[in-house]
Amino acid sequence: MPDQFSMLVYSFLGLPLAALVLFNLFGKRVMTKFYMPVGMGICLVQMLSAIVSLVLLSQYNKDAITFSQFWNYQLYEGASYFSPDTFSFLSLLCIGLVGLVTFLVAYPVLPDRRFQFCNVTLVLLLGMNGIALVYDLFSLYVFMEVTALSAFVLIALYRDAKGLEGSFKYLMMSAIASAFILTGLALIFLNTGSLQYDVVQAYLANWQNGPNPVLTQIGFIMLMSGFSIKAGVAPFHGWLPDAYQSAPAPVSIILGGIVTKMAGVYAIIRLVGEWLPGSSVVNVAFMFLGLLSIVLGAMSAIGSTDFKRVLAFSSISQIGYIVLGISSGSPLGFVGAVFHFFNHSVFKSTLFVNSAAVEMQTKTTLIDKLGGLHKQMPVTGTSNILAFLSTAGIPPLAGFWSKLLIIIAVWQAHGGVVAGVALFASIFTAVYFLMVQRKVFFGPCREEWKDVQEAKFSIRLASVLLSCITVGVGCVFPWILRFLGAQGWI
Amino acid sequence: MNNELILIVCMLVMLVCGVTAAMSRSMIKSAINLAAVSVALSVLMFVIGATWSAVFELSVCSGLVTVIFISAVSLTESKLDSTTQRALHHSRFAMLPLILILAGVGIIAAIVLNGFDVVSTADITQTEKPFREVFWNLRQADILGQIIVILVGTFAVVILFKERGKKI
Amino acid sequence: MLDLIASFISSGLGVNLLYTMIVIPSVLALLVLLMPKAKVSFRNLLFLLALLLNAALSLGLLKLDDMKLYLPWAGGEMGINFALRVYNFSQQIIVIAAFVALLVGLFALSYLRKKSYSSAFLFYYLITVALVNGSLLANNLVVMLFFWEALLAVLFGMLILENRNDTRAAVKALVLNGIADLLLMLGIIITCSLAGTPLMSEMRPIPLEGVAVLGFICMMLGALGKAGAMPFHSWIPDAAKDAPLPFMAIMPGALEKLLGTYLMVRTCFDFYQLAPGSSMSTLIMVIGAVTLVLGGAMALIQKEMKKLLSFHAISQVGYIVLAVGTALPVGYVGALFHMVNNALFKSSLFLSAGAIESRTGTTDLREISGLGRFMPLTAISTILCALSIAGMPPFNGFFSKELIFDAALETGMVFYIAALVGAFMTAASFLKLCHAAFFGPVKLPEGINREELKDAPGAMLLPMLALAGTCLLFGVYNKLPLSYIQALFGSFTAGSDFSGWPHSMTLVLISLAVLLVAVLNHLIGYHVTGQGVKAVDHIHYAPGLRTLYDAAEKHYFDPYRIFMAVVRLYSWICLAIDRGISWIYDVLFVNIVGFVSSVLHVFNNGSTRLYMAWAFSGVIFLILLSMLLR
Repeated sequence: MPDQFSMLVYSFLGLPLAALVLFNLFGKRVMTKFYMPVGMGICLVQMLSAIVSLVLLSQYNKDAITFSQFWNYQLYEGASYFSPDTFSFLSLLCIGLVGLVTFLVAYPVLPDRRFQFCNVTLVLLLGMNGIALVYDLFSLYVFMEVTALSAFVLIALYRDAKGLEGSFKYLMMSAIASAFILTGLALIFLNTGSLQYDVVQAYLANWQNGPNPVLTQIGFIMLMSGFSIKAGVAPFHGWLPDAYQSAPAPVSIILGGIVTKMAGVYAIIRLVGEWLPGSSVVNVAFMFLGLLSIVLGAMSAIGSTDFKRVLAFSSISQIGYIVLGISSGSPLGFVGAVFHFFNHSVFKSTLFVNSAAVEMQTKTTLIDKLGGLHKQMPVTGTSNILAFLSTAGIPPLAGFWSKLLIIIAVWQAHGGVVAGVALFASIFTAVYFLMVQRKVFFGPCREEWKDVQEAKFSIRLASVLLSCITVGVGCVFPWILRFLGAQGWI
Repeated sequence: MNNELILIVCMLVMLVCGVTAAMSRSMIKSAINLAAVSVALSVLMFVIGATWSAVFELSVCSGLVTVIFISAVSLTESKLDSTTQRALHHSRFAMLPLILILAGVGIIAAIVLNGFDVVSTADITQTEKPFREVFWNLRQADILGQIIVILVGTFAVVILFKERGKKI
Repeated sequence: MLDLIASFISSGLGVNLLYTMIVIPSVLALLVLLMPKAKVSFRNLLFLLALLLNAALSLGLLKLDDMKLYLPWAGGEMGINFALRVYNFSQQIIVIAAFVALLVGLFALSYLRKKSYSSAFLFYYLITVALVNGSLLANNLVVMLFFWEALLAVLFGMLILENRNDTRAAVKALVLNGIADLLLMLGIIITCSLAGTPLMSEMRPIPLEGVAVLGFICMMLGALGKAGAMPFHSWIPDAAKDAPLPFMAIMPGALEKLLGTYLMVRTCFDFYQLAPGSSMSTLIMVIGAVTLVLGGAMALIQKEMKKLLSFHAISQVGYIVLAVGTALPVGYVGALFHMVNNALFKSSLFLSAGAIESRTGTTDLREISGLGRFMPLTAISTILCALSIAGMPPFNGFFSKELIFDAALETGMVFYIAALVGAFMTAASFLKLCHAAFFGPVKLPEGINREELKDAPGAMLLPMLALAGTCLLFGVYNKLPLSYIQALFGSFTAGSDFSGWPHSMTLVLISLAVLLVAVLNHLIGYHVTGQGVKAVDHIHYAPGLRTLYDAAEKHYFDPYRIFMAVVRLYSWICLAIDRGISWIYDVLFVNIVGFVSSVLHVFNNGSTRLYMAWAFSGVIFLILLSMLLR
């Protein structure tokens, strides 16, 4: 691969960092105007770089692009460095997409806090990019903390009681997660002496014959529990609905769309999906976690009265599907989980964008207060239906395919009962979404919402863009599958 | 032998603080307890040789984050009262965490009795490299992360404290 | 004349004649329907022309030998090909059908003069003729089924003409005939698959074993349903109440009996091998005997002419079924002869009822009496037909019944006695009918002026008298129909001659004795009550019988009613199951989900402590699980 192309990867860390430094050096008054467009530009560049890198990887048949930020990593043995592979680039693409959408929505929604918002969001992007790029478990943890920390700040952006409470709950649970993760890492480090991916992978491949298998196992479970807290997998999900609900609208988008996934699901996919595909212990444990998340998330969503809270519980449910897909331990389940990761970023962002649109126009997200908005907000309503259908797994939308792959893989791995429960729960998905759609958008228009306007252009642009991706990916998915089959991945 | 003792003490501290954090009715007390867990964890890291982890944990979790947020929360606690009151009523779940954590203690005790063989493994992983070299040469990515954490800490302070009194 | 038509037909146009029999009535039916209201006379002319053409063509058919028409349509050998065939069997029935249809049609024109639905009726009438021709000519069982089912639609249409608001009788007819047709369809499927061809002319009689029994029963039930035998009979008395009388005369009175008997005989004789004395034979005879006795018994007590006649329409089918069931040569011949006779006298009797109704406005025997002096020709015609149906020599009914008695006796004494009981009831009820309607003191419904009461118009009288005359002719000169009928069976009936005076004088004497008993019974009844209409009341109100009759009058024994009760029960059960499932979905499920949801919300109340507890318990669960699985 030509060296100039491998420079691309520097943009993932370099651009947001440069923007941060540049904008904070100059006065706030001058730069506020340009900050959001620049943020959008950075996200666009990130998406492009990710796509180009993905193409390059498949062109040159390489597994990963390895680089280090400041020094030549090859000088020191065991040094931490960056080595993104295909899954990393896919994650980076999602991060760019959701970041772009967040900026698009934040532009009209947060006119008074643009500067702070951009600062922290760029740090958040940096943190997530770091998670995707690193090649060392401890570095992963460090960037996870970066992500979490900036997420706390973003949730409490307005310093209102609600936001602070949500943020603080997230903080508390994150602290527990940190403790779990660090304990787990320590127990693994005890046996390996290094936390680099390849070392840990090699160790995990044969951990039962290594020293201290019991401790390693407990360490691994602690590690996974920590990641599960970050990901919001049931029963570690408690903070998630409160945090999502209390965050400002654009922050909910980036939180629901990508942050919890990068902070937790990414690591779960890496560790369980990639390194421990055959471990029955971990697989069964995650099967339970996945099923619990799916059912509990869906059930809780049905009883929720707040649009954003429904979406939060739905996130738990959908992350359950990803975890369940990984727990199958088969390449098919892995691919399904990765695609559900992508799809969930897209459609959950769409839904949060729409909730932001509704919140901005009506100043409320309580389902019972809303009604009949479809006439006034046709673009929002339509993209909402598409996202709902995709979430519920209705063909030919993107969500259908990833759910199909997951359920097939689960069927093969765990049998019909588990797959049946997963399938049955997706009926619940349809139920609560139809409920929301009916109460918020359909039906007769309420008197107080007669004068509601359609959302601002940039919000509409965001939801149309995401809906197009949902439909487009759904339509070309058979070719993607064929490509994957040709590559020998499934 | 000495290491093992420290380890067990740290773990016990973690457990006790975890229990207290889960049992405490005040959010701030919970947070302080969790910070104590972090400190114990850092000590644990030092003992098993992951010095850089310990440094990071100490600086980020138990230090920066907790301090910032405890301050922020205590400053706005009057506002939180109405919402936290709600949680206080559910005292009927009070025994649940205790039972769970006792069960956890039982499990961990069982594991410790069964095969806790730290000394031998700690010898293997004992690093000979000087701390400086480890920190600057091997953990560059972590240093970058650390820089960003400090950055975001600054932002947090700016956002959460600077405008206090102006609005809201 | 006939030769002329025949030569015309066979010279090139011959093959086309087969479907001309279907096309001409259909096309003219459409014309009749579309004719403007002002051109009533022209319409009537067209209608008559259609019937005349039909009759002429059917006579032309009589001159043809075995002739087939084959239009490939859907599928290959087993497919539905439009195959028609005319041969001696269908020829004769078509001629009878056309003859009766012509006469009843003539009557209908006069009867319907003042009815609003006349055009529709005439349209249905011609379509019926076309469909009956089609059913009789069809050489493919599937094609026959098509015509057969289409008749059901027309039947329904005719039944709702008079009374569009109350369609219960029509629905009843539709349901009962629909069930029968469904069974027929099943039977046809089995028969075709057993025979390996749907073409009737290609079929060889299938021995009755295994699946063939099922196929045979289904076919027979289909045929019985069309003929109106039990248990498919109960719509006829209901229909009689409202339906136009020409309809009663042509459909249950004549054409349906012809079709049903045709299929019965073909099923027993051509498609399957029904052996005399076999269990299937006994089964059919039992059905026949039950129909015969119960129909007769119900007819006996009726005091409303139309209902009485319709019960007789059922009872006479019983004779036919009984005769077919014997599977003897004499049985088949008797069945077909009785079928012809029944078509003649039953339609004529219905027409008489129609004539009386059109003059007096009612057919209730309790309201009319002594009409004989006002309507002598109607009376004569009715009495002639009544004598025929009662089996009085030398009328045709006597000869066909004698053949049936013969066959029944040969099979079993029980059936013979049943047939005799039926004969007694028939005779008694017609004695009552004639006595009550035409003799005795004059009694007219209110609003009918004695001076203005005249005999029925010529257009009504002509068909009635023509039919009655034919009854007499077929009795006196029974060689004419019987020779034709006997020819159908070829070698099966060779060696015996059924025409002329019955062979067994004993049987004749017994029959006559039964008739005598009927007369005596009538005289006793008349003597006791003093009224012709109440002549059989001593039977009606006899201890024990009275309860049964009351129950029957209340339709307790109506198979339709029982069937509908079963259907209602079934639908109630289905509804209950459906409700139950709906309840599970709508109430139970929703409540469970709501309950679980609310419980989950209790556990997601915003308390960080609780969330931590969740997380810790999760870790402990995972550790325990992994320890267990190791």
